[in-house]
Amino acid sequence: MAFQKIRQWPKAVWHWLFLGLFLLLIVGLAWPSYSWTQANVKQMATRHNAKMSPVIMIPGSSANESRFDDLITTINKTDHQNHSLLRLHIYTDGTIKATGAIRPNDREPFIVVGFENNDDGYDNIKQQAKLFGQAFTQLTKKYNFNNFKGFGHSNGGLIYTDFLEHYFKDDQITMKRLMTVGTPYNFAENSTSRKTQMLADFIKDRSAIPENLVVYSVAGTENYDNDSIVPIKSVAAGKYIYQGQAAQYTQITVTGKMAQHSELLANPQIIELMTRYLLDPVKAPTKKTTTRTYHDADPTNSLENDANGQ
Amino acid sequence: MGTITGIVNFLAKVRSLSFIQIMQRTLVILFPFALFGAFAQVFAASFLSVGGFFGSIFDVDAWLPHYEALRVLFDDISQLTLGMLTVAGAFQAAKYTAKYYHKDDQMAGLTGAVGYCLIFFHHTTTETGIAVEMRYYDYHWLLVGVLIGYGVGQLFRWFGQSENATAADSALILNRAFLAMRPIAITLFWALALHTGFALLRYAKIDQYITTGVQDLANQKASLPITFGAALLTTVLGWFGFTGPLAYTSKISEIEIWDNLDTALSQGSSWHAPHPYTALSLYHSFGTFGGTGALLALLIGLILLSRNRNSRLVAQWSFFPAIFNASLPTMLGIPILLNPLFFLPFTLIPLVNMGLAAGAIALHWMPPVVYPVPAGTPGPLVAFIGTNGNVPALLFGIGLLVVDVCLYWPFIRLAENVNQHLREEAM
Repeated sequence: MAFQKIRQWPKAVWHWLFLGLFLLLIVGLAWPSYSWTQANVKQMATRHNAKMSPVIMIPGSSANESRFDDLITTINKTDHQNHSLLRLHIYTDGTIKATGAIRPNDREPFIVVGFENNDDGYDNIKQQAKLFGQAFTQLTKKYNFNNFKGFGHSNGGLIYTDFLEHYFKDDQITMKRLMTVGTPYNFAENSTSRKTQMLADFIKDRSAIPENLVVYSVAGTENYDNDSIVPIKSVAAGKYIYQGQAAQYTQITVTGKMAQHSELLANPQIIELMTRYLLDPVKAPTKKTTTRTYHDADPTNSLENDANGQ
Repeated sequence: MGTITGIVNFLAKVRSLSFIQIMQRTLVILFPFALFGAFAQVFAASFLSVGGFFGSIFDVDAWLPHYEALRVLFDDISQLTLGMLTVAGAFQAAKYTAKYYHKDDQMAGLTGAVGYCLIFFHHTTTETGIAVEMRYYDYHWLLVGVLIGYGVGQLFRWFGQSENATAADSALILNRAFLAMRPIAITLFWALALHTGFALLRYAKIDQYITTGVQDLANQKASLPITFGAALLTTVLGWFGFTGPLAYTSKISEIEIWDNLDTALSQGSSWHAPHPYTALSLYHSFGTFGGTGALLALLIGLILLSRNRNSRLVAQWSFFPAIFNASLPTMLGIPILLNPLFFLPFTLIPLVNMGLAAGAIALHWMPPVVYPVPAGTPGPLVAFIGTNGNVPALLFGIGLLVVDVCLYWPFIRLAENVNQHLREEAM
């Protein structure tokens, strides 16, 4: 009997030690868990309760972050909201230089992102989209906004598209609206039957585009074909990317005076479209003007039957 | 005492049924694979993933180089163990059934595995080769796999050759293959028929209608009956080893969970959450310590109190994955699956926990759980993290664990009595 007791005693100790170690593990992990959840909830609350909804703008190739200065001055004169302006210049190595500032409590500041390498071409677009993604992450960390609007002129719209498909993965941040002006989704191609590599890639990865995004693609035409630089067929090719994937995709064509590719940004009609569709409504919105369907689950035109129709 | 003896006799009788015996042998054979798979899964999901428990609280992506590549390696292990477990189950069930009736068990096993794979074989041809849908081969469908294996074993019982005719003599080996032709042909025929039927269902998208139908049913306003009903359904099906269509359980009352989070973030605390009794705040926070069926408590009970050396060994090995709520090794090793001994505690203890937790929330001892919790968080810490570090919630969780051990305790004793009874009968 004595022998048995000696044999059994350490086993029982081992079992209780086992339980003790487990409890120690739970209590030991409780402390880092506490710090983690406190920090996590604080960050989520800051973002959740943020009031800021910036408009983030990307100019076209060859332009820099000052490209929209006049446009923004005009908008401020029109809607009297005194939007502040922050310009970011992104160097090719990823460092960022900022000019201007966001005024505290400005609910709708403009943020313009320009690139050191602002050249045309698919490879450059891809590089700029990647850099924009990094800058966007820094912006979200610094300003903690939970939603924003996007504006892209010319190739800026291509950078936005590449960004949406490959670098916009934050589920706490909503991109509410995107407006592209004179964006050549099929570069200089005049016919959509000849798809550039870029358009083919954009169509292939379109499922990553947020389903609650509202997209406006504005084209200018000086004649029946183009805005002197970008063919209207190339702007219209945006439907193969966004239509049926985004909640809404609207195409708008602006003609007449100042419908030339670069003059579009000074066109009063474009400014009106921006204030009406892209910016947040100034006064409490009346129900009649803002009955937009954000969740259009049943798009009537899919890519396939549209392509067959051509 | 009379009723206890009656229960023991009844349970011993149930366990001597051919199907139950075959099932339990199959499960035990699968145990080591489930164990390795569960370890790999825990490392991949909790340690090496940014959204996992250790990954989040220790910022694993910041200091561990190549953590993503490591995760892929561990994922591969779990994919080929847990991810193929049902195929292995069909193999073993067919093999044991044939052996039970003294037939060619090797042939039956292979036929069972091939037959199961054929029924659920869906593939698409891609640029680089063939992509096979693996969904139906993983452990969620284990019950289906074992049933089909059992059926194939029965075919061998009726149409196969006896063991004597299948001796592995090199001269007779070809003979053996030809003798198995008939049951193999019958299996393939019926598997193909089922495969066609299932493919037609999928073609008509009926499987999707059923899934969305069940989801709509679950996506109702979070009330106590709905939350408890869904939890009971989950545990009962879990006991049967059939959790396939219920893998979406985290989606139950999803709208309320977002609503709660929204309110809590606006108000700065979760005390006044509009829906205090969601699946997240009751089932996922207090009903699943150690996975479905609150099995962590059973393992603690076995380690501390069991007199059976094998049970203790299984419990010790299964303990680590169970801390992170991977319960499959426990389900197979004890076993719990289709084991009438553990039906009541396995299905009801989670509900007891949820009831106690609902009471504690109603009495304002602790706030409802509303904040996000990383994947693979140890059971008793889920409520602590999900209440943004509320200490009473942590103490309540540990207290529940103690209560669960006490609740499992009589069933551990009962299981040992039944085992004793079976051993005595065998002698």
